[in-house]
Amino acid sequence: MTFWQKKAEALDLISRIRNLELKAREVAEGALIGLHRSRHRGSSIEFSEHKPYSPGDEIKMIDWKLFGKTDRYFIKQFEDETRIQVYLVLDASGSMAYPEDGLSGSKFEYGRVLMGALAYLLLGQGDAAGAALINKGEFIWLPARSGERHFLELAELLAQAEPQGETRLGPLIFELITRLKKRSLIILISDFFDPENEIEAGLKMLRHHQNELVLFQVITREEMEFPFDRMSWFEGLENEGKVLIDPAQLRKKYLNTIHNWQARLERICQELSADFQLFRTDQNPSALLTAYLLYRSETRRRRRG
Amino acid sequence: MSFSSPWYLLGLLGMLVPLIIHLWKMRRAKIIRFAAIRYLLESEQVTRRKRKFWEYLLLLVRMLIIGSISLALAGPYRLESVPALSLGSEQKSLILILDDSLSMRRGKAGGGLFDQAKTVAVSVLDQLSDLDRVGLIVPCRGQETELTQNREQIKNKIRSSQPTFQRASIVPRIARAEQMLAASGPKSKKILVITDLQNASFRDAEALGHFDGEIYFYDLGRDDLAANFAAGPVELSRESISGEESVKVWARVYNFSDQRLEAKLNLWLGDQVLSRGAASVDRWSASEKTFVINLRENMSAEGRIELENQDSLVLDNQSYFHLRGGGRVRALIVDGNWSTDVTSRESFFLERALNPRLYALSRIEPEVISETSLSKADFNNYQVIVLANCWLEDKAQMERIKDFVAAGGGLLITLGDKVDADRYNKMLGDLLPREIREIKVPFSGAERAKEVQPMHIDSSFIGQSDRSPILKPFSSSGQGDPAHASFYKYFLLYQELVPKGRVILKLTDGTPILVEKNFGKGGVIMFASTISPEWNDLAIHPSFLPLFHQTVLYLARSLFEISAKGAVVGEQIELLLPAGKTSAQVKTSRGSEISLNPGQQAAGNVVRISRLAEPGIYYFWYLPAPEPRLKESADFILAVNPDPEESDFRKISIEDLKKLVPASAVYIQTEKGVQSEPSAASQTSKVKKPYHSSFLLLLVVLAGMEMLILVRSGLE
Repeated sequence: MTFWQKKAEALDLISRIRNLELKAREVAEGALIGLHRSRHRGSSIEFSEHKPYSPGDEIKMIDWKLFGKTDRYFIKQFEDETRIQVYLVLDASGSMAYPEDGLSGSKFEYGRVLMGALAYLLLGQGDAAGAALINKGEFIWLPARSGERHFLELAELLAQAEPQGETRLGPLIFELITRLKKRSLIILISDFFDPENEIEAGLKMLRHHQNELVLFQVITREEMEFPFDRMSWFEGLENEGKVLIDPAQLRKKYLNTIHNWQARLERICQELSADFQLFRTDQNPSALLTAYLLYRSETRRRRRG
Repeated sequence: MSFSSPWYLLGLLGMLVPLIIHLWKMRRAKIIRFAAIRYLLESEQVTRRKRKFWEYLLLLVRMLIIGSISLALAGPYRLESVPALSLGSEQKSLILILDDSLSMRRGKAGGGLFDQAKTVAVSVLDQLSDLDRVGLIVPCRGQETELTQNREQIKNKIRSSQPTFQRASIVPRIARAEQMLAASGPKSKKILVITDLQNASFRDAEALGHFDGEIYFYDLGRDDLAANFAAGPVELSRESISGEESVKVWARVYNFSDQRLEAKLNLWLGDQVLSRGAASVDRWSASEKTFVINLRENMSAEGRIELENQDSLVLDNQSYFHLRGGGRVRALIVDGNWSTDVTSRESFFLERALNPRLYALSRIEPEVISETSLSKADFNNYQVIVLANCWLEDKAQMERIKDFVAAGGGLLITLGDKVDADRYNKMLGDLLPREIREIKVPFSGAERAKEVQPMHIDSSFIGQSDRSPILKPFSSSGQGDPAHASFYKYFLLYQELVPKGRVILKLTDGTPILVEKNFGKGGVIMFASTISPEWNDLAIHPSFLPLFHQTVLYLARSLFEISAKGAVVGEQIELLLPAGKTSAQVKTSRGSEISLNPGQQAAGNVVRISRLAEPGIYYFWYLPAPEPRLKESADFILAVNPDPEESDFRKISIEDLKKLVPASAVYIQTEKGVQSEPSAASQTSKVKKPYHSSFLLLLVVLAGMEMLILVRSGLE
């Protein structure tokens, strides 16, 4: 590789990072604007310095001052405990490259922006954010760190990633578990077009290790509605082979299958007390993110309170 | 299988079109890269087998549709070998006789044997050279085509001919053919008769003279005769006069087969089955089954007996008849022996016979008056007047009676001790069927011995229902026998050179006792003895009631008219037009109307219908007649049925045939070969049997299947 080539690549990468950063900020700001409008201004994914006392907690940890004010027992939580560690896991398999007419509209691109926005939000409020993805068959891992500068590292990682190969969300999760040192909030961004059992096993394992789970399913309109009408060869993006199909005949059956899968995924999430949010690529990510954040803060408050 | 337009078979290549379209569609299908292929494959796997099955079936059906179109267009046919006579290569004149009788309709639905006969005839024509001359005779239709070299003309006539419903007489047609050939010159003369050699077609024929030529019979009748059953002409008889009037229907069933037949019969009247019955018929014989129909007043109905059993000829399984008549009759009895004591009146027995009141229902309403009150009676109220032993006081009243009869009324004259022969002959004159001579008392031996030898009615007259409808009830037992009555005294009548009247009944000594005469539009009947038991004891015999009941109804023209035997299909009918009528109209069993005018074919005021072509009921009206001409008001009704002999397919023996038509040589050819000496070389000729219609039928079925597949599978 010549110097000029390297330079051109570097410039390209920089522009991609810049681009991603801008988009991510835009989405994040958009999401925040939505939040500012809400009653629970300033609330964020994970902000609690006190937790109500429960039997088993150390007595020395009780905040007696607060007890004096409120007449209730609260446990003081140290900073590094409240600073939640978040891992953003992006599925970079071949199926995420859909639709392939220009990467800008693909699920991967959507997921990447979503992930950037989340990172921006988290880092912005001082949380530690890390990332994991399999890029070109290689497990790429960025440990969770806080500080706004970390955002650039994350953005670079994301900008370099390209969707390719088979989806193996299962192995990615197992690899992730081995690397996690303490319990974390894990946000999985994927289309979840994987063998169902593998996904279920992986999620259960994550949950077993006391991690909190959030699933963002990114899906396109075509996949949800199957709007094709002419007889065509359908070819998978992960070397599943191709098949000649008359969409009119198969539509009903297909929609049934995909809805069933979604219903099952939601059920699994319910069982594991994980959040599930569906993102359709033709819908505005900011709005969906806002909605999710609102929902989450609401349920958090309820759980706490 | 051969084809008349084999070029169309190239269309079979078109069968590849659906396949090509199928492959092209597969190739043309664009590739869509799709992430959720996993779910697509999962869904597809479930329906794949079923869908593939429908797809391939549809492909197959579409290929077959194109294939069958091209096969049908190519005009497929089968060459069938038809044995054909070799008529020799010498120059010849040939007359074809094509048997078109009813029996030729048997066999497969449609033309049956007759179609086969046409095929043979055409194949024979194909053998002829251009110099040969050929003529055609179709016996039942009476169609003849003189000898000609134009074979196409003959072929067209053969193709257009249809079998009839009647019996053929082949021998006279052969005689006619010999006649036609006589003028044909030195060429060799041949006659070919294509027939089933049915016995009936040769019956009652006289043997012809020797024919100086060859006669060929092409025998289409099989040796193993198919079973055939037939309903013969129906006979009807009056079952009862008193009580409810009814008619006994005698249905005859013929079994022309080797097995015993359990016949199932339906009696139809109008458009409903009135009664069902069964009859057991031995092989090669006939049996009768009777039904009874209760008559209603003023009825007019078409009836038929229908045989349900399946056989080789369906058309002879029904037999038609017609019933009508039965209006109410008012009779005025003028009693010449009037008395306040009812029992001593002349008309006491007659009045009770005509309407027994409590004992039975009767259509006759008698009213008795004395002769003196005759002038007060309004004749318009009555259809029949009975002069019972009257003196005939008033000349003017007699003139009134004459007018009454001339206008269509009926008059019954009974005699007795009040009657003076000369006075009667003078007063009634023309009205009397015969002039009255004197009273006779039949003595045995010398008159002086005063030993009366009673006379009886001549029984040979009684059974003859053809003599007069009045006698119909006595053709079957149960109505009494008038011959049992004894006559002690009666009037002798003058024998006339040109009889004015007709004798209905005679006594054993030859004296006419019941005589009939038409007068004007009406009729007169005279009974030459007393109606009371004074001169005879008829009144106390059971036959008294039906005899005078019938007589009065007959005079009132109110008898049930039952036409059953009627006519046989093919018969010629002549009708005598009544006075004042100039022509007639007939409505055939098919509903078509034909006008019949006298003088066209028959002389004088006789009209003739030359051929009753089909079985069924024929209605005749004498014209001029008021419109509309309803069936009920027809002047004459005729039931026409096929000749039952025509249903018997048994064949004439070769020996008998040769005796009937002696010729230089007689050949009999069957489908198997020649049966007679000297043997004629037989050969086969090929006949095209097209069957493109089978492919068209297949096409319709396939199109239906395609629709069904599309609907069932949801394919496009």
